[in-house]
Amino acid sequence: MHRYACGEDGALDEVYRLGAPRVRAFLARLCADLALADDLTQEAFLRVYRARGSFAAGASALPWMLAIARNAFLDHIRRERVRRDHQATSAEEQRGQPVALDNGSDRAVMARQMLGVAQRALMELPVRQREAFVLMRFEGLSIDEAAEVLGTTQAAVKILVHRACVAIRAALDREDTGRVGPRAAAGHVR
Amino acid sequence: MKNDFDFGPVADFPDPVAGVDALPLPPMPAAPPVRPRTRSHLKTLRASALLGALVYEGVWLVVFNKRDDLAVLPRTTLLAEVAIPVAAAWLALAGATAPGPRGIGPAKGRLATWVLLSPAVFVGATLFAGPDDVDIESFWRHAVRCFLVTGLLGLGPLALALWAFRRSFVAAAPWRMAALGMGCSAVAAASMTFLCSVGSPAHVLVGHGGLMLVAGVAGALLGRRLGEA
Repeated sequence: MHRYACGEDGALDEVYRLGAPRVRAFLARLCADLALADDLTQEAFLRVYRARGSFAAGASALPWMLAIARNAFLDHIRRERVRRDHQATSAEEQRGQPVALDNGSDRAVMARQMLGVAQRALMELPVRQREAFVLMRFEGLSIDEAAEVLGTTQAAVKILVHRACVAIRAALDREDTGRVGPRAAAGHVR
Repeated sequence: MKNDFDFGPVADFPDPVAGVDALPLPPMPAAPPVRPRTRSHLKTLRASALLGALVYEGVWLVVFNKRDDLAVLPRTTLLAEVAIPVAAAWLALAGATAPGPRGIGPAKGRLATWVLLSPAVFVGATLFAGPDDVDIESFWRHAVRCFLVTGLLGLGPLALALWAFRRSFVAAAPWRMAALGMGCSAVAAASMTFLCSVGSPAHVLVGHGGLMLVAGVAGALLGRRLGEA
């Protein structure tokens, strides 16, 4: 990244080869949709290209890229919110027309297969908690680094991750009792 | 990187996308048609913007009539009047442009301290140093006029800062754009010291420093759209 920031355009391939897997995994954990994560990875790297000059000398590339990827993700959420609001307001006009859905790609199918209980628990978290948890639990960032990526304080990161842990534990426990529940109920009937 | 948080009850929480690395990466997006700025380009650009802002201020100081008492005013008084907004500008600009330990920017707590310290220094020092001669009759007329002139003086630095720092903050963009807005406005307030002889704290805060508030709020509101990488 340092070489690319200094103007060596040939380093771009290496930046993408080394950075994209981490960025895509981070985005996939946040959005639980591999097809979307791929799109956002591409968008994030376009932003990385544009912002390369602001990459500080001697800095670590991963937190910087993750911060940019997070911006792309948050922009996507905002766009989606606006789109949903717009759809809600124009629902009356569109009533009766078929709605085209295009989430049947191979990648999306594979992603759906991959995402299970853990992903559901993760997706139930508010976005801020999810971001903090993913950055620290899976990306291996320290509290300081996560705080800088999220643009918040270290204390706030600790609170976010703690709340995320509590919520995930509760979700996993619910899932366990949900799985045990019907069997137990069936046994009771017999 | 070391993980310094005890995940306790979810330490064994599985990675929901484990194995994603085995899937092929999406194709690399085509590089933008315009070659993105390199680090040295950006450094030159920002130095040019700073120089341009100073030239802009200098030109307006030549064009406008200087304050009447400039020749007789004690140097120390003038220096103190200029030093207050300059200190505020330095604090805000240092906070906005600091790369931080990892190049993402300073930690939020430190950034907030710098950003909030800038107007605090301006307000505190102005209240402490200014004379108590408020002319209520003409206060708003003078204050609004000075606010408009400060706005004109601040227009150049603000536009140049926006040009030089557009889409370059990867984190805390609203805070950093707010700091940038306040810093540029404080530079304009410093220039205003050479044009306006009214030194009462109320006038200086509203007429000369009011733009800091406006530009700071505008920076915070537009920061994500304009400053975020």
